Formats: sequence, C-alpha cells, structure tokens
Amino acid sequence: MVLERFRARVSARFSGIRRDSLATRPDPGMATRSIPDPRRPGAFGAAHRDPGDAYAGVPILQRPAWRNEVAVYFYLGGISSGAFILGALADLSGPRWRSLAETGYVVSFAAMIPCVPLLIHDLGRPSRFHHMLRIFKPSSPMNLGTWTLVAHSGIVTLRTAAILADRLPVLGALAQPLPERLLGAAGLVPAVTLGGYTGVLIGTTSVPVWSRSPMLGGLFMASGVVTGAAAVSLTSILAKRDTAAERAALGTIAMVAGLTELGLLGGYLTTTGNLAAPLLRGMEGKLLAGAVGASGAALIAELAGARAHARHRFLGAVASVATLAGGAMLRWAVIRAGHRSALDRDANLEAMRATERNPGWGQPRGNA
Amino acid sequence: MTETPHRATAEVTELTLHRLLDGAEVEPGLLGGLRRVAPPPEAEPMGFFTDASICIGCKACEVACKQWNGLPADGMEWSGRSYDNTVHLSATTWRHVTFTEQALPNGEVRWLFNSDVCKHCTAAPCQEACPTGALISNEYGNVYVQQDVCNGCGYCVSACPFGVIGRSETGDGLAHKCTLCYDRQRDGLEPACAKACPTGSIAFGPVAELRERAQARVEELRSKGESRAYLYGADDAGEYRRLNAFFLLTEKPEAYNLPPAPTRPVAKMLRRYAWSAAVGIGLSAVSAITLARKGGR
Repeated sequence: MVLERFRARVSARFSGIRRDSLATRPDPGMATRSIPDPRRPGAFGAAHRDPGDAYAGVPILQRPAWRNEVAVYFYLGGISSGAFILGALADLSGPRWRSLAETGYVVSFAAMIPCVPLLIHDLGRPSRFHHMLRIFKPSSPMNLGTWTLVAHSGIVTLRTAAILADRLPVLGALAQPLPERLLGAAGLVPAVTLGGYTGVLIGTTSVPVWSRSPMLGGLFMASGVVTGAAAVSLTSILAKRDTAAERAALGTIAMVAGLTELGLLGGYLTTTGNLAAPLLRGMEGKLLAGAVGASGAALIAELAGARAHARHRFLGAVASVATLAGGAMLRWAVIRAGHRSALDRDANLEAMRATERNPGWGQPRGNA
Repeated sequence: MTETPHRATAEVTELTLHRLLDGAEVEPGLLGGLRRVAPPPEAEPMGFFTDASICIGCKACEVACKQWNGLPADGMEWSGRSYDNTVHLSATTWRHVTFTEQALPNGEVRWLFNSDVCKHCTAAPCQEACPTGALISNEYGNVYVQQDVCNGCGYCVSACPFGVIGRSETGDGLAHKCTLCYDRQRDGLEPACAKACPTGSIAFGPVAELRERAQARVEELRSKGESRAYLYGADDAGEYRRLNAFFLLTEKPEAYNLPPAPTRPVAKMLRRYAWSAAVGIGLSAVSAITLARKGGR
C-alpha cells in the first residue's frame, strides 16, 4: 500500500523500530463487496456509514524524523548537565569538596563530547549544522537548546582544561587568571537548561504522547541529575578517589533526585492519560518497566548502602550502574513511543478533539 | 469576529548574525544561508479557498503541482481506499485529493472529495519551531521554506498538527511543502493547482476577498438545502489562529482526515519550561544543602 511505502521510506533510515511492528491498523469499516456485509457492521462496499471512518488507520500526523541518535543525545546531555551541577556546587562549597568538583567537571566534559556529533548526524543536511546559530529564536526550543549546548560545552571545556592544566607546570600558571569559581557558577544556568530543555523540545510538538503533559521537561531534568550523580559516583569509585563523605553526600542527592524522578514519571503518565498507551505496550512498555525497575533497585541499594557505615562502596556502585541503565531506557522508550503515537490516528484525533478552550472548526452547523 | 494580523512574525524575535563571511566561494547554502537579504515589501495576504462541495476528485491539482514544482513520483500502489492512492501529503506531494464514500441510510452512496494542501497558518507551528529561521512568513503571508537555509532538523515535521510538511529522506534531506507557488505569484500568476482546477473548487486570491466569497458560498449552500456546509479555518478558534488556506466542508473534519481542533504546540511551552526549571533549581538546592551539611574530607 502507498501508506506502507510511505512508512517504509521513513523506516529505511530509522533502525530502531521494525517496519512490521507499525503495520497499518486494519480498517474495520472496509469491505470489497458492493452489498452490506452483516458480519461487518457499517461496511458497504468501500463506503462507510460514518464518513469519519473512511480514513481509519491513516495517521493525520507525519512520523517524527528523530531516531536513536536523539535518544542517546538526550541521555548523555542529561548526564553532562547533572554532573556539571554537582561539580559546580561542590566547587562553590569550599576546598573540602575539591575532589568531587574535579570529578564532576571531568564526567560532564566526557559526556558532552559525543553530543555535538550525534546532533549533527541526526540532521537531514549535516553540513549545514551551523545554520542553527544564524539566529537567536526563543520560540524554538531547538534553537535555544543549541545555544545552551554551545554555552555549556564552552564552559565545561574551559573548566576541565583548567583542572588538567593545574597538574602541568607551565599550563597551570597560564590557567591561573581564569575566574574558575565564577565560571562554575555561571555555568549552572546553561547546565540546568540543558538537562530539561530536551523534554520541553519534544513536548512542544503535535505528537500526542510527548505533548499532552507539561511535565516531560521536569522528568528529563530529574533523570539528568540522578544519572549525573550516578556517573560521578561510579567514576569516583572506579578511580578510587572516593571518600566516605563523598559517597554519603552523593547517595543522599541520588535518593532525593531518584524519588523526584519516579514521582514525575507517575505525574507525567497520569497527566498524559490514555495518550500514554504507546509507552505501556510492547517494546516501549518493556523499556519503561526496565527504567522503573532499575530506578527502584537503585533506590533500594542506596538505602541499604546508607544504613551500612557511611554508605557502602559496592552498593553505591551497584546503585549507580542501575541508575545509568534506567535513564537510558527511559529516554529510548519515550522517543520510540513518539513514533507510535504520531502514527496512531485515534491518538491524533483524541489529542486534537474539540474542547471548550480549543473548539476548532470541527462542528458542522445546522441539522443533518 | 475579531480581526487578527495575517502574519505571526511580530511574535517571533529573531536576531541575525549576517554577512559574516560575505563573498566566500563555498557550496551554495553552506554559508549562503547565513546571509540575510532585505525582505521584499509586504504585499496583500494571498491564500487558497478550497470549496470541497464542488470538487470532483479529478486530481488535476495533484498533477499540476507535481509538474510545475518538478516533484518526483512517489510510486504507484493500490491503497484500497476508494480512488485515493496518494493517501497523505508529504515532502514530495503538496496537493492530495481525499476520497470519502459515505453510505447513506437509504442505501445510496455519496462522494465527498476535498483537495488537501498546506494550510498556510497565520501562526504556523512549523515556523515557530524552526531553529534556523528557514521557515518564514513571506510577503504574501504564506509559510515558505527557504531551501538554502533549512538544514533538515525535522522539528517542523513533528510540530505541524496537520501532518503537512515532510523531510525528504531519500532526496536532499531538507523540509518541503507547498510554497503556494511563490515563484508564480512573484510573476503575477496564480498557483498551478488553482490554474488547473476545472470546477473552480480551488480559488486563489487576496485572503480578505476569499473569506467574503466563502461566507457567501456557505449561505448559498445552506439556502439550497446543504445545511451542514461550514468553513474550516477561516476564523480564529481557541489557541489556533485562522488559516490563509481554508476550506468549505460539508461533513465533519475527520471525514477528510483533518483534525477537528488542531493544537498549537508553542501555546503551552512556558508551562513546560516552568516544570523543567522548577525541578532543576529544586534539585540543585537539595544538592547544595547536602554538600554544605556533610563534611568534606
């Protein structure tokens, strides 16, 4: 069918979702006979008693162009944001947190590195990526996000370079005049924007599962902080730079952020209502269940670790790994669910049905 | 009904870094898109009035559009949906005739045809979403993709509540949709589809004039017994502003695969940012307090 071909053309460049898993919904009102078929109510040749059924199964929206690169970018951008927030706050809390500050900045820098190539690769014309920066346009979250990423990557690169330079004799002296703490404090603004704007970006579309709830940005922000804390904690433990106080502080932050994330996920699913269905079925449902399970397991490991003396090292590492896996599954599930949601005509119509606040043009006036 | 401007540009702040590398010899569009030329003076807003009640489903508009704009074929397969084998608008299909066969209670079947097209919204979600400024409202009040600026990010594709604009996945990777024959308009010609339409179902002209004409046509149809005739998109409705390409329909919008009440994504954007900022600032505060209370090494 033409529609299948249309989808297959788009699918060809999207490796994440198989073509057959998005097969056209069968049209309940269609029949090939020219007489009414008693087995199929409403069927009358190709005609429909309810003309609204003529295009049953044909989505109104087009399929999103965003594929797996975007899910990976959302994930790494969140880690970079969360790790920077922790690093900068440790930086501002005095010299006793110096080790945590350094780990935070370095993790944030490492997570930021793949972000720009991922975003460029996602474009239809990658050689024109710089056109994003020809204007400043706050009405477009993607434009604001690009400027945010530029500011964030600049600051985290300077901050990481200063840390590395400190260890070398000549560069250390050159890096001295950098207003390091001021840079860290100023960097909090783009870092906090980076963690959540990704959810605002896909929320500011017509795709039902992404746009119905206002909470998706908050959910991605919380997930960014908790995965950032997990990445910092794991790096610290693996590099054997961790202290009991650091493990305890990161454990507390991860627990509060993890509980916030689970709460916001519940709020997001509730406010999305029926339109959240694509997130609860099939592969997306499994990914979301995996995300919730991993976050829950991380919380239990954190709690058990905190009860042990000064947060158990091994349990802290387990909690961090579980948190990082959960964050990845969450982003992947949400991006994939958007494809299903856009291609579901019933969801399209449900999201754009007439309401008192937005009556639309849908009501034929007068009597039938 | 209140008069609103035909353009949304006043609401959009755009600062441009232009003429940065003027005169450099590079691939067209690589740096060319960074330049900004002085916009032409504003002309009278132009648009389409598509009257579904006199569409006969001949698809001359589809053919004329493909031919004039040099759009590639999409392949031919039977859809099984009446005589509609086009099915959907896309990056390479800018006019699409919908075919709806309605079974009436008396056993007869009636046809409903409509030639679907880009709605050229006066406040267009695709234009609001576009991060490069490639999507503009041009001097005729039409939503237009500047092909030398677009970088194929795909945001417009998901922003459009009508599923009109598409990204060419097998071609140049850029976003494409109806230009309302910008090139023909500049030469004083009407768009190819309107020129080809044999019944006058597709009317092109100044929007203000078309709206009066459409209103009169609704009254005429009602007086002749088609009491369900109504205009889709001629006026503002809730969060959506009126369309410069609007329709006269005689059945509910779903029958033509149009959304009953399109939503404007940017309408709730600040609420989304507020949630994101509240969570980010709140968790930062929790982190700062935790670090202050737990001693360092």
